[in-house]
Amino acid sequence: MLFDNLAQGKSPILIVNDVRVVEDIRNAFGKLSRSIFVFRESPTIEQYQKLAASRDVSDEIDLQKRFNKAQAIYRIYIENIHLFDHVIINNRDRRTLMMQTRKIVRSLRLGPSWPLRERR
Amino acid sequence: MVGTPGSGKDLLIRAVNDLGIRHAQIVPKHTSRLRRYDDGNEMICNGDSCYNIDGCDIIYENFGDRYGIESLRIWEGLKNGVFQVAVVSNIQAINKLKELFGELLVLVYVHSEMSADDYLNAEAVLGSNTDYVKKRAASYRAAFDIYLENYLAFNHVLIYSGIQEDLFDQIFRLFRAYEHRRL
Repeated sequence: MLFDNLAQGKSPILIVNDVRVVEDIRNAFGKLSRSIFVFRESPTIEQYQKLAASRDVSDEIDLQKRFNKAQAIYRIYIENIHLFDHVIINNRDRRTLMMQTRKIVRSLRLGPSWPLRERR
Repeated sequence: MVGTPGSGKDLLIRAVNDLGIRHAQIVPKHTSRLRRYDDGNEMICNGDSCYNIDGCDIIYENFGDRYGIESLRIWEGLKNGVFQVAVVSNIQAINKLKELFGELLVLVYVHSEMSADDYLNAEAVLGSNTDYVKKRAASYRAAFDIYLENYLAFNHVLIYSGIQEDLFDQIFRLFRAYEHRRL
């Protein structure tokens, strides 16, 4: 299916939280694939407790599960940094988020990013 | 390495000095400013015996002070098979490094969740609320803007979330990955 999509000139997006799958895709597609880690902030149990309170969720087990999952995903990046081509830093500013995403999308078609440029 | 003030670059420098001696070494920069309490071997400051900014071939200005790098020293380190780590947050200097070292250059952004206010507070706790610190805080976003504007030129992002070991883990994993890289 992925090859079919590529053959039609499309760029399929896969959301994957398993590092072995990331590796397999990189091995299978080589430079045709781009692995992207989306980072907002490193997870803490306090954040998750706050979030649960704001959403009126009181299930402790669910909260712990969500936190563990976020923690595991964060660890994937720390321990496999070399597997990621880009990081989208979500600093809660829509403009910078769009800018990063747009640059990745444009890079699928365009080439060199050197020399560096000053901010306009 | 490019990063905002307080993003963990100094920690990385110390880690490379302490733990990475076989893998990597820090590229010292000459600077026209006087030595600060937290400067280590990454800085050759005005007044130090080996200070010679005019002997550098890459010279740039940041926060009103001049900085210089000797590319010959980097070549010598690379010739010995040791990664050379330079902290540079100046576009012209990075472009010059790219021009000289081409594909050998790996550009890394160090991202921290710290804000400019957090940085100022941290420095104030250390008793270092100087004009220099204030100047750095005022242009706190400059490194992030370099990252955003030149997003695709960056090869990696190190994330510093306050846990030093995680930061060190990332850079040493990168060293390992590049040891096996073929150009």
